[in-house]
Amino acid sequence: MAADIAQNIANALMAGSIYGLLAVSLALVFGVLEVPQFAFGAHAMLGAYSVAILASYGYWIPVAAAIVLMAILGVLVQALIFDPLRNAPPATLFIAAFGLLLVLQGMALVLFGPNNHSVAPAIAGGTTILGASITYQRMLVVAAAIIAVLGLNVFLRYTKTGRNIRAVGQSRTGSLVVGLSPRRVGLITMAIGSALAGLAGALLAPIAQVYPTMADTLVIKAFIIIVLAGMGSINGALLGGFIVGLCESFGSAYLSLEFKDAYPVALFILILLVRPQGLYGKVVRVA
Amino acid sequence: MITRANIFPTITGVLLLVLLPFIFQSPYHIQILTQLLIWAILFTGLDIAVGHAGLVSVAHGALFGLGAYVTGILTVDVGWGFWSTLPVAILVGALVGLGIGLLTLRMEGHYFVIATLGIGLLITIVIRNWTELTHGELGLSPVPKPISFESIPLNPSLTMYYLMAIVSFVCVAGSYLLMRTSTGRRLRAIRDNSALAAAVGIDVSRTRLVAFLISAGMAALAGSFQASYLSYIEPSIASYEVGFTALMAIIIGGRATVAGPFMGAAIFVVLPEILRSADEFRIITLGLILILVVLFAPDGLAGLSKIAFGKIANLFSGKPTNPNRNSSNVLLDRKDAS
Repeated sequence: MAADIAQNIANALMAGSIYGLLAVSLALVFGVLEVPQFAFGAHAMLGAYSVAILASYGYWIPVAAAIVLMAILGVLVQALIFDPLRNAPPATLFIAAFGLLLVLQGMALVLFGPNNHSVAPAIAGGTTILGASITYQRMLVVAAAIIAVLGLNVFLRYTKTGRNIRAVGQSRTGSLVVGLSPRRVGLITMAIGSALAGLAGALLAPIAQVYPTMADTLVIKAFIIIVLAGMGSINGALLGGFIVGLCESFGSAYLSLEFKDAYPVALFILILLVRPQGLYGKVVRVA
Repeated sequence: MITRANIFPTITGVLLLVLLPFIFQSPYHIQILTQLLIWAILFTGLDIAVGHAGLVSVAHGALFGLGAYVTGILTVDVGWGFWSTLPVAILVGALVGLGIGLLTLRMEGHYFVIATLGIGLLITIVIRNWTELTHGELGLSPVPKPISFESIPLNPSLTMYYLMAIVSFVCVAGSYLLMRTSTGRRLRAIRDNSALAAAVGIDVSRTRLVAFLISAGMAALAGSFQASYLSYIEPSIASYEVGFTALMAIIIGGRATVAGPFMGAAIFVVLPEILRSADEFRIITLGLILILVVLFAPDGLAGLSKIAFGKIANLFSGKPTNPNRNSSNVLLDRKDAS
């Protein structure tokens, strides 16, 4: 029994760190640029493909390549799509992001075909903690996700560029007044967010199958997480990732496995019933 | 409600509906046109929420699937006829729509989109996994046709086409007339500025709920006909891709217009036919069209053609062109600088 619970918590931490990392990338881009970057699911998928395609170079070089490639993609999509739409209302941005998702998935389908790829784990083997058997690869995923988010925190707090990003997030107009370039900061922000999404995909690749629509439900969960955590809250997004992981893991262990994907959504709806504006959302009365 | 301004488009539309089967005579093309009309009903329903009320919902794919499944289960497993399931499907769709509306009453912008995404996903998961009721991946068949074809001398696909032509005409006319009523004006007022609408005494919550309920009911009605049209349904009919497709079609076609949903449906029906030999490029092409429309034609194809027609008309009448007069769509208008 205790071993079961430990195993479920271990599974939850692993899944939760992937959800959390993707949610952090969304939260960063949403918090600073107000772009609901739905296509980050596809960025994660391309990150996973980078690892699968470059598998002959080991694991870490392809992971680095995934991060760099996705950062470049981030700059491109910001410059070509989201920067021109910077004053557009939410619905437009959502649709543009979805269009981008389709283009990227379609490209993956054309380039890599519909078949699943699998990636060998970076470190084979595993260990048993408190009766829960955990592969080293899964520990690596959790550690890498937490280190990435810690690194992002340090970057945003203590570097000049990081402070500029937070300034633009607080007030676009204000940052213009003090001489920042919100558009340049936007490029950097989207690059970092995209790189984090790519990292999430690269970490996921060895423990899941790689195929063009692999991140579809993942990105929906990540969106649910950032609504719950309060859009723009980065550490809240990581925590929300773990909560969703726990909810799924225990739900599928003790309720029913078929409805695994439904538990986070059900939790989300329950919270909406109590707090219609989300856990940290501001109450905006319109009527 | 027929005025001089809308009589010409109405006649053109009706003529098109009646005459199209004479232009595309093969049963295959008529079936494609029938599918186009079913989509157009779904898109018109969604447009009430998205275009007129500004409620950008992704849950309508699930509502469409819900309507299909109500008809599917009641005809295949319970043995009802098609027409008796139709009101039940509309009612279930409208009630679920009311539930979604109540849950998301206070949400605006991104939050509303994501909430409907989540709720739609939940409905899809339930349909996929509640196998005792829905038969899961096995699906349901055969869903009967609305009309027994022995009684009518026309060929079956042509009968179905004209039935859908009548149903879509009724839905479009209903939606058009509804938007001419005070409810329609209230909806647009809320869409354009909800705080101001509330300040002048409009019950924002109630009006939003009414719009969402009607819109959801129409989506379920379209789903009900889709089940009968396909005669076999399986869970992908309720997937979130359907919801996104509907939303994309409205954006590409043009919001808050009568022609927009039809243009959007035409793209989603015709494009796969054109790209039949290169299906893997279909998704890329769709995505690119979507991005280009959002970037360069925010009022959609209907908006573009309106501007083009306006220019041509003004060329003859000698009036100055003023395309801005037509762009009443705040969804894509620029935000305040604040």
